[in-house]
Amino acid sequence: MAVSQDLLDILACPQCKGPLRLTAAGDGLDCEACRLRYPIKEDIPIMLIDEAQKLP
Amino acid sequence: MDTPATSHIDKIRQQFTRQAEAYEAVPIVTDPAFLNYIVSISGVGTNDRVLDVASGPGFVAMAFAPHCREVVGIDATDRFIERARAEAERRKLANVAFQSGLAESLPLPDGAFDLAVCRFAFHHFLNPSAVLSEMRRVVRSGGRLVVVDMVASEDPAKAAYHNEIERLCDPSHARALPASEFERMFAAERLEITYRQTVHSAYGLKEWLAHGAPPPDRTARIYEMLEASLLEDKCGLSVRRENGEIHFSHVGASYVLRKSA
Repeated sequence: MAVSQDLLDILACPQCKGPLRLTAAGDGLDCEACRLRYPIKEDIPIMLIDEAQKLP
Repeated sequence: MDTPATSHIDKIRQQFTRQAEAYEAVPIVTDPAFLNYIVSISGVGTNDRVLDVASGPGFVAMAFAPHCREVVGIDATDRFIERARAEAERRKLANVAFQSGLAESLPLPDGAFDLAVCRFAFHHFLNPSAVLSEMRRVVRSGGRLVVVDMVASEDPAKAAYHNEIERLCDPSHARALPASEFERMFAAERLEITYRQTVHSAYGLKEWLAHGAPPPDRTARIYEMLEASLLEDKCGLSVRRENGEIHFSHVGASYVLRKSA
C-alpha cells in the first residue's frame, strides 16, 4: 500500500511546520525551507528531524 | 552524543517494541466502555478531523473513526504504527491513518484539526508542556483537546515514590503529574477546562507487572516498595492486600479543554 494522498496532504515539516513535497521516486518527503528529506520506509514516512537527510 | 531527550525516546521505542503485545493486552487499554467514554466526553462531530497523539496500538483513533470525518494517529514507535495500520485494515476503517512522529514536534500544520486527543501518554513525556503546546498549535481556534492520564499524588514525596515504582516496571515512564500540575499547564497554554473527571482503576500487582515485564531484581524492588506502603501510605496508590496478593489503584484524570477563539 502506498502512502495515501490524504495523509501526504496533511503532513508538515516537524521543524518549520511548512509544506512538504513527495520526491519523484516516492521515497521521501522534502522540506524546501529546511533543506531536509524525511525518508519513507515501508510506506511509513519517518517524520523525525534526527533521521532526516540534509539536502544539498 | 545522545541528548537526554533522544535517549528517552529510545527507551520508549525499546520498551514498546518489546512489549507491544503485552501493552495491547492491558484491559484498560482496550476496554470498549472506556474508549466510548473518551469519545463521548470529546463532543466529536461527524465532520471533525481528529488527531490521536502517541496513538500506540491505535485503539483510541479507531474508536473515534466511526464518529468523525478522519483520524490521524501519531506515534514514535514504528512497531505500533505497523500494528495499528494492520488492525485498521482488518476492521476495514478507511478514514484512519497512522504516522510516525514525535509528540514534542508534530509533523502537522497549524490549526489542521478540530480535536486532539492524548490518552495514557503524558507520563511518558520528558517535556509534557511542549507536547501540550504542540497539541494546541495543531487544533483550530474553538477546537478541543482531550487529555487522559494517570495522575500522581499532590504530596511531592508520595508522587516521587509512585514514579519510582512506575519506572522500575517500565523504564520509558518519565513522570506521572499531579492534577494540579496538569491544570497549571492548561492555564499557561490558555486552554479552558470544560470537563474534568477522575476515576480509580484497581490492579492486582501480578497483572500490572505483565505490561512492563521488568526483570526479577526490579520486580523484587517493586514488591518491597509496595509492601512498605501497606501500613503507611507512601505513594498515594491505596495499596492493600486482598486474598494474599497486593492490589493498588491508579487515579486517572480526564480533561476536555477548549482552545479559545
